[in-house]
Amino acid sequence: MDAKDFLKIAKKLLRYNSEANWRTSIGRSYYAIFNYLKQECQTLNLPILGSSKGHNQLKSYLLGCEIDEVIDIGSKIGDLYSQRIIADYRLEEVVEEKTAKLMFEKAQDITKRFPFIDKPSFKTGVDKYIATFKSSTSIPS
Amino acid sequence: MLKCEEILATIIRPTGDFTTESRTYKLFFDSDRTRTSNYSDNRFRIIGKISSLIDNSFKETVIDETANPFLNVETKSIDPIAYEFCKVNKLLASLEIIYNQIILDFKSLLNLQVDYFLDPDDSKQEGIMFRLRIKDKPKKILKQENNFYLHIRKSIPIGERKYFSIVYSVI
Repeated sequence: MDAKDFLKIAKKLLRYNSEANWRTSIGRSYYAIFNYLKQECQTLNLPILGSSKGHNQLKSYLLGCEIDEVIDIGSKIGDLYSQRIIADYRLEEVVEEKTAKLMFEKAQDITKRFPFIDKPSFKTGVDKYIATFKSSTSIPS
Repeated sequence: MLKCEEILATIIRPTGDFTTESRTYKLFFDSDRTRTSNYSDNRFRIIGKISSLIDNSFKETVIDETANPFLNVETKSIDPIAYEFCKVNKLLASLEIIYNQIILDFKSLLNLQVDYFLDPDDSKQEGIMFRLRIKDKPKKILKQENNFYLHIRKSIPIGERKYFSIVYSVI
């Protein structure tokens, strides 16, 4: 399955006039981008953990690769993750339709930008980042 | 009227040509720290004393609105736990820079709240959440966000960016 198909679902959910749909749309936007970037990393032989730690691991790779454009994407996936936490867990807060729409736009923007990243440079940057944690037993974070 | 404390801020042109002009601005600063930092947008940079950023440390003063570049923001506040987290992890400088850069770059910002964040899915992950309440079209906000991250690139150490995230409430 193409991870970006989650974005189509996120967009469809925006059509419905209910907060539950908007919250779910935010979750789909995040997971579209998380799984898309995870697949891209795996293609470059940069495996991402399947556990909950994989979220932070992916963000760390993006932030650690020393390519400005990718570092921004790393921050943005962190933003989307936080927004998903609010959407999924903080039911006492109001989530607006426009917020969900913004998250969809933000995720879509990443899928448009990442293909232009030079992949060998990205892999070199992440490998270098991982090497700095070689002596550590934990995942770089 | 906003709650704040007055400080002297020197305006510098982007070329680095220091002017002699000084104005008293309402900013987020208090006087108990001596370090200076940069706050920039495309027009000018302000250098001044840095604040503790906690609302209750502000003195209430009447603002000269014509001299205040941040009037579009109605309310701003920082959770004391967030402040303490930044203090312990030596992130205060970045907190302040991001805080001010958000105000400069998000033109339709109504409210800015800074909260401590503990990941409910991974209790080892914690950080700071900048919560923006904003009235604008999503595409416009995204454009402003891209601009914001361009500015942040220059001023926030990469190793510190992982601690900060921005989230929205768009009306």
